[in-house]
Amino acid sequence: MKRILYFCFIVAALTLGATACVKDEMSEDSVIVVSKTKQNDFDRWLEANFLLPYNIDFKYRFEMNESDMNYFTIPASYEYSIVMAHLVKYLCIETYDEVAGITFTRRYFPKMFFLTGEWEYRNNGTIILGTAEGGKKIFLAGVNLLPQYMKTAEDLNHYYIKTIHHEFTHILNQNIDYPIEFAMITGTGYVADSWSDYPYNQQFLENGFISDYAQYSDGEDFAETLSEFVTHDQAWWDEQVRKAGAKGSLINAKLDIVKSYMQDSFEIDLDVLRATVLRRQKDVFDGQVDLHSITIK
Amino acid sequence: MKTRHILSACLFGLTLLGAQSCLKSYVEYFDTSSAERIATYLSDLDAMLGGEQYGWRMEYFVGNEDGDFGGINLALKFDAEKGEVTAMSEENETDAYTSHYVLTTDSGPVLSFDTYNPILHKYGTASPEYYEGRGGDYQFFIIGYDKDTKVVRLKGKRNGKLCSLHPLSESIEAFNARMYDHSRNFYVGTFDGFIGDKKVTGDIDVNNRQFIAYEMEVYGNDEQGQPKYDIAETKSVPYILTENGLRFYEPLEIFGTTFEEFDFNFDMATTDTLFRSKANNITFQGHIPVDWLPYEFFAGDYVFAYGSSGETKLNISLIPTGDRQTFRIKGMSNQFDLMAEYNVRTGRIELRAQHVRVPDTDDILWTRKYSGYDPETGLSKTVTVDNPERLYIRLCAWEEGGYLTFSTEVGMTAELVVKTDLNGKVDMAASLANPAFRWVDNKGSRSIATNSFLLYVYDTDESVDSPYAGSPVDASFLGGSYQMAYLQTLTKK
Repeated sequence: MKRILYFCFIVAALTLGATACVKDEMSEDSVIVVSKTKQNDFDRWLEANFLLPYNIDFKYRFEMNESDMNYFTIPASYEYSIVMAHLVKYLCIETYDEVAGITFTRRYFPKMFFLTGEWEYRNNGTIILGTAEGGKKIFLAGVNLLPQYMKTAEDLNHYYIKTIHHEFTHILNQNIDYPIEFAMITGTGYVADSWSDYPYNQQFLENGFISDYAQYSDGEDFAETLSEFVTHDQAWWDEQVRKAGAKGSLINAKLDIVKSYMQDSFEIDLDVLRATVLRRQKDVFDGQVDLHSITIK
Repeated sequence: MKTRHILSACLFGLTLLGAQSCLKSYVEYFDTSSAERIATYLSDLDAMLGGEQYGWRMEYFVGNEDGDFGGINLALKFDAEKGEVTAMSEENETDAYTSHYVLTTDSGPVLSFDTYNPILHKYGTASPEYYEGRGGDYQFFIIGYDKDTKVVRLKGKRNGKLCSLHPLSESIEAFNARMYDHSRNFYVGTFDGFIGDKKVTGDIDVNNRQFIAYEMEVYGNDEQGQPKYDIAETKSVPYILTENGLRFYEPLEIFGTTFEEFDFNFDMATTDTLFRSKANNITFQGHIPVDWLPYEFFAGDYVFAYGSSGETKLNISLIPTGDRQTFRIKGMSNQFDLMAEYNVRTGRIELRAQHVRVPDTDDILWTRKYSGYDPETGLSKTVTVDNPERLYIRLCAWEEGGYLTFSTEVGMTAELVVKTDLNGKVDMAASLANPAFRWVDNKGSRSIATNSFLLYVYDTDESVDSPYAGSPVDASFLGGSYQMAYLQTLTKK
């Protein structure tokens, strides 16, 4: 009798277990509904000129998740985002297309741009013009200030275009690291956050650095050396080396490594890249590039 | 026996297995997923925002740890088809700017003004002075909206201020023009009154929209036997102007009585300003600042004195420009004119940082020369530049021996020297017989207590780190200096 009782219990328990799981059919629709921003003419132009040919997402509308929450910033203006998109396309993307081929650009050029309107202000009096993240994204600040900082090539480069070359250099470095020898040339000269303090903010050339910010670290030095070189002509470069005096040779030694790195790693002749950048820059300032059109050709 | 134990253990185990197996029995409270519901919620809201014929009034409160700027009435018109919004502010009479907005999900339903608009992003813009901005949000959690009243309740994502949207029954231009007039015509500086037998006094900071009430307590009697009062407690709350008066950001309790709003007449010039709380049937008496003076009063000739003891004197004239907001200052220099601002809320004139003007024109004076650091050579000398073509000469607010700024909010105010009679009471007739003003910091900067001005050259109109910067070579104040240290007095002739 007891055995029968046990048996009954076992059967009941097994039945309970076997029938407990009833699987619902999986819905074909995702539960996540992506909010849709209404597409305007500029969005369509970006799709035709950035997204389809290069798979680049050019984000000009503010998204808090893309911004750095350590800073307080504001959205970029629609009007100046259009100008910035043209500048990025003509002075950077198409420059690399021309020099290294569109396959290089498609492979290495960052897949996302994110624009904001103002600089990121730090509480030590310095500002952040832009950053690069993970070989994927370039963040450009200060787009609303574009009208006053694109009166001269020097300003335009200093505040925006050089920043893109600088950040792109980081991205290339994240793909293929640069030789360790670079860091040894002025290895004791890097001063981190003190780069913006006196005397570093004025005596960088004499210390063997092409810019004040180059003194931050060897990674920044590499990016500054490349970006300063490609956005200036040879006369400017020679003048900086002359002003650097005895340490001028160190700047040129670092430039040699940068040139070899670009040639060996990516088959890019830095002199050719610079000539192309400067020619295209001249086209912009000669008014040969329509920076406002969003007509899709 | 052994078999029974094993069997019992197996049975117990199986029972447990059955007990924890997944018999799900739940009730579907909603027909659709939460994501679909939120999408519908936002879509309905978008239709409501875009469908409102005249547009919306936004009660926009701003502020953060660095300061509170109270509530500002904005007028918004949404175009749901294009995803665009046109914005106006009570701070500007006619300026309207169009930008984009999106209703999205980001930790909840969010209204985001996601391309730049000078109205909507003014208080969110960071600067060297306010590196965290001034507490103005432009992305808002949607707390809720009522389809009947059409009131949309919002909360700023970054600074957390509560704001709201209300439908308008007139065009945004008409609404904004009236609120602009209200904000310009509201210049009550203090108030007093009683709640029962408890005395209340207070200040109204019209520039930062703060209502400050003092609960007073008696600490004795004066010679006439009247009670003498002292402040027992200070209560402060941001406010926003309404059609009929002002409303507080949150209820304010004074002597146990809760106030949410006050009504008053905006025609300050012709009526006694009474603050009426209908809910509590309590009235306070408002007072315009004792030294408040109309725009017309200031036109004329003056002696302007500066230097540590006012030893340098210039004969200057304030010439009305026609806008009832500014005066052209003649007599400071042979090379340029300056502009003085009239602040209708304080009834005073201010001298603030500004571009200097070509004499008798509104053109900004520029140069190609300055004395200072040469970015090409690294030396200090007189520098002449070809590129950039123009270096602008600015009047900068300066704390002598310390910092200077070209922020146009910063400068000094001419404060009337108020004379008193034998009883110690203000005698305005005597004060205005030979009016003299004392220059004081206008508190436009947190970090600079302006007591002086100087001329400085920059290469662009808003540069934060101009490589070309120094003192001007071909412009100076009368007497030849580019500095004007320690402003003292302004005396009307």
